[in-house]
Order: sequence, then C-alpha cells, then structure tokens
Amino acid sequence: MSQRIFAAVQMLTVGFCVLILAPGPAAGQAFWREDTPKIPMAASWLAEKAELPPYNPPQTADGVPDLQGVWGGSGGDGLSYLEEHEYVDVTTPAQESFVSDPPDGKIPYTTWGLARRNEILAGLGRGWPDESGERLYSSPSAFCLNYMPRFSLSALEIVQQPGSVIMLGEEGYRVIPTDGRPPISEDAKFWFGNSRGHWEGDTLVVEVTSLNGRGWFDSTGHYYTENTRMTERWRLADENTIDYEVTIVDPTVYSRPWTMNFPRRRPGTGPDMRGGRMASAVMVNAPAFEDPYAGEVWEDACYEGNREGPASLRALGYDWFRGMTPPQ
Amino acid sequence: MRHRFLRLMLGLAAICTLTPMPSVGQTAATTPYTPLRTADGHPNLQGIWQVVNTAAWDLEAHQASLGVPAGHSVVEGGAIPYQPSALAKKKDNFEQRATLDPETRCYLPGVPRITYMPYPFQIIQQADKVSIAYEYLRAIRYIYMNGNPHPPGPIDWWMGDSRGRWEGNTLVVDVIHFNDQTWFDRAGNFHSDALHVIERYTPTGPDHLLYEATIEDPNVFSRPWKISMPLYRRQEANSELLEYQCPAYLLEQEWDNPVSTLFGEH
Amino acid sequence: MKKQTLGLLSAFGLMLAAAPVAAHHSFAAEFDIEKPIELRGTLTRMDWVNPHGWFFIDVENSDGTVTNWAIEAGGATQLLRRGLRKTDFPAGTEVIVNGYLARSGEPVVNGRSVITPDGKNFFLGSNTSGAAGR
Repeated sequence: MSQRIFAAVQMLTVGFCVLILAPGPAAGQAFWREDTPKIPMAASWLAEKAELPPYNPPQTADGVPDLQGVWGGSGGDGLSYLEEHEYVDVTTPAQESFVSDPPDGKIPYTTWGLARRNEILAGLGRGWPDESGERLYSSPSAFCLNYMPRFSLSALEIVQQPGSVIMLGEEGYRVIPTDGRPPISEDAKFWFGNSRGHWEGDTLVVEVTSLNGRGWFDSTGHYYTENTRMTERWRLADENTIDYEVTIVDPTVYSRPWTMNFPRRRPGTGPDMRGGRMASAVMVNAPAFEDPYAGEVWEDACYEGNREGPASLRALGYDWFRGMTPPQ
Repeated sequence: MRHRFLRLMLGLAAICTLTPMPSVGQTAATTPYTPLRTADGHPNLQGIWQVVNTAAWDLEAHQASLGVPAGHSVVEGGAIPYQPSALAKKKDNFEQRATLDPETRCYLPGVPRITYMPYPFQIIQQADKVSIAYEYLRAIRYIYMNGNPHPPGPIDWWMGDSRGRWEGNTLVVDVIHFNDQTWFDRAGNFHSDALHVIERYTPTGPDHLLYEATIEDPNVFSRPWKISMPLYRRQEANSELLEYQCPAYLLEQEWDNPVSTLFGEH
Repeated sequence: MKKQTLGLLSAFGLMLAAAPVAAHHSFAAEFDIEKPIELRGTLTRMDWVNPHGWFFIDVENSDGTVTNWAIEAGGATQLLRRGLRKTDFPAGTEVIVNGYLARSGEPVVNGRSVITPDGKNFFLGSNTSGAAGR
C-alpha cells in the first residue's frame, strides 16, 4: 500500500474514533451527545501554544510570511455559545471559552453593556438558562447573514498577492489591502466592516473599522456596536497551524479590550486530525482521497434556501435586531 | 487619371472589406492584445472590473422610463430567439416584473446576470481555479480548473457549476446545473433548468476585457444566442469591493410590514 | 496522483461540510426539544436547499385524513457530496421520521433521523455503510 494511501487510511481510522465523540448524523442539525467531552478552545490553545518552539515561517516572493492555503475554522459548537459552558442541549455541547483575555474567559462588559446583553439573552425564547420565556431577538446568523468576526471563524482559503491578502470562504470572501491605503470613512458602516492589513514581523495584523454593530459574536446575544473596532492577528505557529486572535475594543460597552484566540489547522492535521474540532459522519463517509471534489467549495445559497426560517421566527413574534446604541 | 482613380477606389474597397468592423456590442479589436502573464504563465485577468451599460435593466434594445435608462441591445442579432410559448411567458414576466423579478427578493442573480449587475467584481487567479468575487451580495464564484468535469446531475444551483479552461488569451467558462429561478435582467428574460452558459473573458487592452456569453436552453429558445460587452478596469487608486448585503436591508424593511409578501411562502 | 494530493491537502469542501460554523442558531427557537415525535409517511416532495433541505411527507391521521408534514433535514450540499441526487428520492417512498416538533404548532418537524422501513438511512444513501456504519 502506498504511503499516501496508508496515511489516508490512518486518518480515516482516527477520524472514525473521533466520530464516537461527535454529534450524530446531520439530519436537520448537528446533534451532540450529553457525554461529549468539553471541547477545547482558548485555554487549551494557550497551553498548547506555550509549549511550541519558535517557528520561522516560509515567505512569499514579496518577502512576507506565507499564510496561504486552506485553513480550518474554530470548530466547536459553531459559535453557539462563546463563553465557557457545560452541555446545554443537542446543539450546544460543553466547551471552553473563546475568550483568552481576560483570563477568566468572560467578556468584560461595563454595567450598562452587560445589562443590555442579559436583556437579549432573556428574550431568546429557546428554553435555555437565564431566559424569561419572552421572545425578543433572534441571532442575525439565523437569517443567513454574515459579518465580522463570524466570517473569520469558518474554514477559509488564504491567497496572498502583492498588496493584498484574500480570504475565500463558502459564504463570501474578504479582500484585505496591505498596501498602506487608509480605511474608508467611519461614517460608512458595513456588516463586514472595512479591513486594512499590515505585517508586524511574522504576524498579519488586520484592523477592522466601520462595523455596523448588527452582528453578534454568538447566538446568546453577545452583541457589539458601531463604535467597536476589531484587530485580528494571523500568525503561523507551526507549519500546519495558524494562531488566530481577534481583539475587540469598544469603550462604550466594554471596560477593557478583550481577545478571542484559537488555532486553525490545515486539513488532516492537528490533534484531532480534523482541522477543526468537530468531526461528523460526512468526513468518515466521504474519504478525501477518493473524492476528487473534496477540494472544491460547492454552492451554499443559504439565504435563498432559508425562506422558512425568517418566516417562522417572525410568526413566533421575534423582533428584528437593529443594533445597540450606548449612552453618550 | 481614371485608371489611377479606379485603382485607388478598388484599393480603398479592399481595405474596407478586410478591416474588421465592430458588430453589435463588441469593442473594435484591430490587433489582438497580448496581456501580462501570471506566475504560472496564464493570461493575467486579475483586478477589479465593472460593466458600463444598461444590460442589467434589459438585454434587448429599450427605451427609457422612470428610473430606467435607454439602451442598445447587447444581444448579437438584436433579439433573444424565444420559442413562441416562451415569448408569451417573457411578456407576462415583464408585466409583473415588480413582484416576479428574483432581484427584488435579493436572490442570487445567476450567470451571466451577475456580471452586468451595476457593482464591481474582482478576478483572482490561482493554479486550481479562478475565483470571481462580486460586491453584489458578497457572492463568490469558484471556476474550477483542476481537471474535474462537472459533477453529475441533476443539480439545481443558483449560480450553476463553473469549469474553466484557457483558449489562447481567453478564459472560457462552461456553466451548467442551474435552477430555473433566475432571470437574465429586470425585463423578465428567463430560462429553464436546462440552461447552459459559455462565458468568454478576453483581454483587449490593459484596462479592458471583452465579455461574451453564449446562452443555450432548448426548453425556452429556438437556438443558442450570444451577448457581449466590454468590462472596464476600475481606475480609482482606492478601488475596492465594499458590500451590498441585500437580504439584510430587505428583511429589515419587511419585518415590520404587516402586509409583507416576503414571508408568506413555506 | 495529482488528484489525490489535492484531495488530501485541500479538503476545503469537506471541512466546510463537516464543521458548519455557519450554524444558524434558530433550531431551539423554532423547535421544541421537549417534544420528540415519530412519523411514518410517504414522500411527496423534497426541497434540495441549504442550510436545511426539506422533505414533505403525507401522514395518515387516525381519522383517515391525511396531513402533509414538512421535515427540516440536512442541507443539500451534504447530500450532493455523498453522490445523492433528488432523483434518488422518488415521490411515494415510505419513510420513518424521528425529530422534534415545531413550536409554532404547524405540522413541521426538525428531522433527527429519516429512514426507510427496511432500515436504509436516507442520509447515507442505499448501500453506503462507510467506516462508521451509521
């Protein structure tokens, strides 16, 4: 058996073992078992990162670090619940916090900011803890909308050109100029904000401004505002791992900046061999080395296919989230 | 004197016959343009492009009306060759375009309509594919050039399945596996799920591409037909794709509308 | 050889299919986990869309009337990648659905499993058992 096929079989075997911990067959939704071990996120990554030797990344022809290739997303519960939590229901297994700083893993809201978040949480109408049963808002992601930083938490392909870093995804893309041009006026606001990148040593630093404050960090109502700025850091921690960080700054709702941090793996690498921490029946039943279309992204058309979703949420009485305006 | 004059006239006639004349919708190309190449030796079509015409409103020649500019046809031969029953449906579509046009629902516009929506797009080339990133809807098309054929059908995608190859300096894209839900423009020109589109992107100068698309659909048209138009490179130094997240604007507008028709279908 | 390399090193499509960060988070708002339900019926139609496909099944009620139920299922892309096509699911196919009832009171279910009476799992196709054998 050729070495390549053996490696693939090895990967499949491990993949099968991981399947035991994985959610059930994806019918309408990934269904997680209650005994799923707590999914690692920021804390485990910080510990793993601390043990890594220094890494000198390869460079592109333009003399900047080469981050190109396909990279996994954060994995986990699909940004259902950002802070550390135990098993909630079949959609949301136990998971470490995404928040690496502050060290307690909690978003450092001001008093006003936290009160607003808890109002949203109380009105999600899902039968989750801390809800009142009332229906207030649904997560913007329920409408197939995409925004920052959500887009950055999915699997994507990085392509580098002189003066720009391009991120290709399933539901969209980002083109990040690195040629020193200024961002657009802050008076123009966008779901994806406006991104400008520059290199600091081995790290691609991306400043995201002009956010419209309509997106959420997760499905539990961790919102942000039009005043929010995000700074991403993309750095190769080793040849198969990007150390992805995003720092959130918004003095109108947070008492200090805070940071999310997780590793992104190349496909078929990483401790769980999955390039993301959630295995599923798909991976096992569609082996990569047999499927010539494995490298392709096929049409999602989420909004076009999701006509039932907004209709039923609206009929249930949810309001449309229009952002949060902090006091002056 | 007469012979010289005759010779001159014959000479001029010969020149006029041999010089290519621009036909409908095409830019006049006298000598083929040799584009720069990417690192892997292919023509470099990369950059931010946009059409400047009225195809988005109506592919055929049309007059102006409130909010609608007049325009020449971008269809070779002028008219779209509908089968008679399909032409009747096109006329119905036109009458009811305010409600029937899928653009009013912010749905993906299909191919080739997305090319001539009045928004910029960016061509990105790699070894295994050409990606086209559109500002409109933040749509992304992956045109695979990895040796894979179209996957077997039946498949119903809004943007179809795109497979590309190079013919000289032209990127040729073969697109099938469409659903029947998109229109070609705001005038009700439509197709079935048997649609087959062949696009051609040809550099004609450092800042221009010629875009051609051949449309084939035996359920709707009596023969294949073709559109063509220039693509213009955006010149502004700060040129970038911004965003047009249409569904967000539409949902917000309709959410509080007690008589909205957006949420009725299940 | 080249295709194998592409498959192993750039399994982008599979990573997306398997790790949908684009989880749409309205499941618990729209469906009631406290209300599991089993239905047996015949397929009338399928909508092959993302993020969730839909099955429509005619279910005979105890009084002899028939109700058409909508079953929210896996996204179309997952099925297409497994080689399944809409023509594999002809109208009239008998199915057993297990899932969760919609909160709205409408005949809508989020399908956890959809199988045929002879045990074929709709989501894995007819003969595929794969390493997991699910």
